[in-house]
Amino acid sequence: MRKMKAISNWLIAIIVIIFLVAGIVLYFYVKNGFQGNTTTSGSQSNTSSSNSIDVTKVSASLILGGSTFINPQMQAWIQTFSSKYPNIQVTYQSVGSGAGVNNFIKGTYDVGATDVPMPSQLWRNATNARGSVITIPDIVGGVAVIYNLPGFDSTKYGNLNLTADILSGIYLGKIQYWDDPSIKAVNPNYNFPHQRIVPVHRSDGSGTTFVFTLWLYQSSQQWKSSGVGYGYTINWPVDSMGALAGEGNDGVTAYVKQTPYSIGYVEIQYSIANNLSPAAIKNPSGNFILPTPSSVSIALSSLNISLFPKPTQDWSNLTPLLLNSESPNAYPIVTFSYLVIQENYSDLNKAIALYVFLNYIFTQGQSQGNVINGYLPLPDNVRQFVLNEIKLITYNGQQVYKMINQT
Amino acid sequence: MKSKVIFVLTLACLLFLFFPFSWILFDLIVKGLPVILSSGINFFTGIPPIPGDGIGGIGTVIEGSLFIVSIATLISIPISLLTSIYIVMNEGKKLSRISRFLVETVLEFPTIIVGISVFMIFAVGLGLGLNGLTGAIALGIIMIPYSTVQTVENLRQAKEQYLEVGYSLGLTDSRVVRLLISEGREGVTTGILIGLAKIFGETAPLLFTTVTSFNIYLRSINSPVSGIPVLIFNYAFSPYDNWHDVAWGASLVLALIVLLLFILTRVTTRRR
Amino acid sequence: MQKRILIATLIGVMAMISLVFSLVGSLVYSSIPSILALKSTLFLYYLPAIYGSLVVSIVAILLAMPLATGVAIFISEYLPRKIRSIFISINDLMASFPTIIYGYWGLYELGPFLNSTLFKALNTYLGFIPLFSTQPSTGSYLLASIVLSIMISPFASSLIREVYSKIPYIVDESVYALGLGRWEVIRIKLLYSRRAILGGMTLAFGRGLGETVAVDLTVGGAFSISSSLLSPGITIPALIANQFGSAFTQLEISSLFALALLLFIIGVSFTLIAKLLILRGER
Repeated sequence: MRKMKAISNWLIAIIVIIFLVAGIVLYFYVKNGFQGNTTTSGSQSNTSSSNSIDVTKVSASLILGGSTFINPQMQAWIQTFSSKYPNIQVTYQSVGSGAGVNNFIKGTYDVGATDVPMPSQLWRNATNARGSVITIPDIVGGVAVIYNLPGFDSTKYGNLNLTADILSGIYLGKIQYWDDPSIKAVNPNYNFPHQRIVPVHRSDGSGTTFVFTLWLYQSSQQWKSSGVGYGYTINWPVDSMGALAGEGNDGVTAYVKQTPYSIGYVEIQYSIANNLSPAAIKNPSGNFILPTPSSVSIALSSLNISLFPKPTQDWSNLTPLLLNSESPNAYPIVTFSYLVIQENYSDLNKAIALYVFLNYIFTQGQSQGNVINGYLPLPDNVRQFVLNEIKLITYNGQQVYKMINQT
Repeated sequence: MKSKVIFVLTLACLLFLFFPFSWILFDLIVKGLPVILSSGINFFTGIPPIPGDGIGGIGTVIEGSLFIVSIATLISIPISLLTSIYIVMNEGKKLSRISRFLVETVLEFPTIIVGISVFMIFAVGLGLGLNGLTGAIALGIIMIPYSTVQTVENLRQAKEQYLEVGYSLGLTDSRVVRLLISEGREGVTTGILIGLAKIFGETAPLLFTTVTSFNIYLRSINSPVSGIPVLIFNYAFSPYDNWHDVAWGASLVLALIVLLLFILTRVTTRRR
Repeated sequence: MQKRILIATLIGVMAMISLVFSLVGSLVYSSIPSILALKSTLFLYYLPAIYGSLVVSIVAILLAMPLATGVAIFISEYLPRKIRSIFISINDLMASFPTIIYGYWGLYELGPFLNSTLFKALNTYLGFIPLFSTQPSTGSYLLASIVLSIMISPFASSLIREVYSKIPYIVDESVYALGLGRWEVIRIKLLYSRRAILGGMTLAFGRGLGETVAVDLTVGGAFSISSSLLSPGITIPALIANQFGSAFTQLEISSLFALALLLFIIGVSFTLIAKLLILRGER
């Protein structure tokens, strides 16, 4: 034991020094950031620059993440894509637009999915962190207002009609009961109970929240002057009055389903998949419109594609693009969902895999059978625009789409 | 009589505590078993279903959990074992006491914090990304104190018995340590098993270190795989009934794994 | 030979120590920017989470302690040897059971049941008390507390039982010799074990503070303070779990880490107090 003591002093000193050095090296590595992205795997495909690369032999992992809005559609796309290209592993995290953008900037996602183009500051951060980034609209969707009103049957009493001012009042905490005069005024056929409304909103950073609150901001003077504003997350005044916060579109849907007298906002697909009748929302023309494929596509018809900025520019001015369309039968809360990708890659397999996947989404993925109920495919002119966008993907400066053997 | 009252009161406490647990077990079987049976072997080999339709399987996350846990164990066993031996063999020494104290501090470290720290340092800082490997690092860090504390307890008991015997027989230090380890094998194994049981069921550390999607099978060491608890957590928050069913089935599988580990712990602890 | 073993074990110890210091160090390092920038407004802003954590954990402890003590007493006093080990095993199984399952069951099974029975009754009949003044909700402080107490009681119970069952039988004998009954025996033994009970309570409290998933699923996610236990709220780990993914700016990330640091400090303090209590009790 005495021998142990003598040696141990020196040893402790040496080992401590080694660990200190390792710690310092680690610290500097962390401080200087990371070198871009994430996973690669497996075999290299033949990369002779003159030959065309056989896409089916390319092996890579792609991690996408963000918007819960687009999740059901994305999962469907991934499923069919994977059966065609089993060597390209694609996985999508449904964590909310906020986290999607955040992780994209940090480099832990290859693709970020967000329901509104990144706000300017974030776009700048992304460009700093990952070089040029391309913003790509990938599908059309809308925000539906769902509710749980026991005893209310839309087949008997007609739709639940709501306006931006009513919703604004509910989420500001000014309208607290279902039998509020403003609700009764637009729904004269129903005898509302004197029950407290339970508002449900998002607990995570959400593009759906962004679209919904932006729409409230633009459509309701009350919301605009309240100072609450709009964004991926906001301070909800109703939190002090028993509001519930769900994680993801899923969480909000789950809470509304389970909580009598509640109301919430979700992507249209979630109301369809869960058999929840959405409310009919008053549009600028004064009509109360349900979110249906036709009311959403009518809103699309007012789109002016010349307003699109260049692919690698800041797209944040486009956020209100499809809201409050002037057409009489248009649904007022319609939006694109977007993907954000890096333009230039140092990993060939990843660049190819990404191009192939995106190409799939914007060709077969947009066809009738592959777009699921609750979403609308991109209009043709937008689709062409996007197909040109993804051609910008480069590996060491070379455009990837030229390198591959397309099937 | 007062004694009768206290009997009834404490019995009530027992029932009150164990009743919810039996309720949980009941639910696991009643809600989980039919799901597993309806999918059959596919529940253990297949991919989770799309929202709203079908049961599919949880093969990807079972594989993912096994992978993540085994890498975590690889990381934690050396540190845990070596630390335990040092602490037990040098009891009373300052370093030993400091180590003991630090281990017990980390034991109480909220697991979500381990998760976000590992995310910042490894996933982002070192560019490892979100995958099974990063998740394993987080779980490994959590496993270390659990295994260490348990192993220290067990080795201590072994030490009491064998140390005196060993020295009085004139054995050298190294022989004594060897004797300790060979007799304390069970204690070491128990320590590892307890750590395993703990991390198999851990969700929070995986939330930010690995992916929250479940369609990927393992292909390389940094494939984006996830674990069973993460699936349950995600599906629990969803509104889809079929996902809820899958979550119950997955919960049953998870419970059975933990139960198995627990039985193994009891079996390897002969002395009680 | 002995050198090699010593070196090996020391490497392990050093790895462990640097691990602990890196964890705590990175936690402090990441928290500093926001603490310096915002100082006390940081914690004021996150008050709902701090409040929620404290409320949920305190109520959980209030529920768990009598329960855990009662169980410990019953197992030690009334169960014959053979059955005792079965119940101890069940107890330990409960303690190491995956917390996600507790949470999932709590949200979809216990929650609806309590909402339509106990919570409804509390609100209807005792609604004039601020504690029960809101209507039952899908997630609430009370639901989270109940689930949490179910989770920490087995742990606390085994701590208490460790001490309680080791009290020598001579104590029992002395009390009986005085002509007193079981009740008095238990009372005396409880007195002897009170340090362990207190220590167990504090350790369990520390554990309850850090619990993430089970509480996140059952607490409702409302970023607000409410005096009613039946309304939804938020706790620190649940908040971190919800917001960390989308925390963009360095300030946001740093604030969440600062919150985590606060949680850690509270937890460690309670653990230290618990250790002191138990140590003194043993002497």
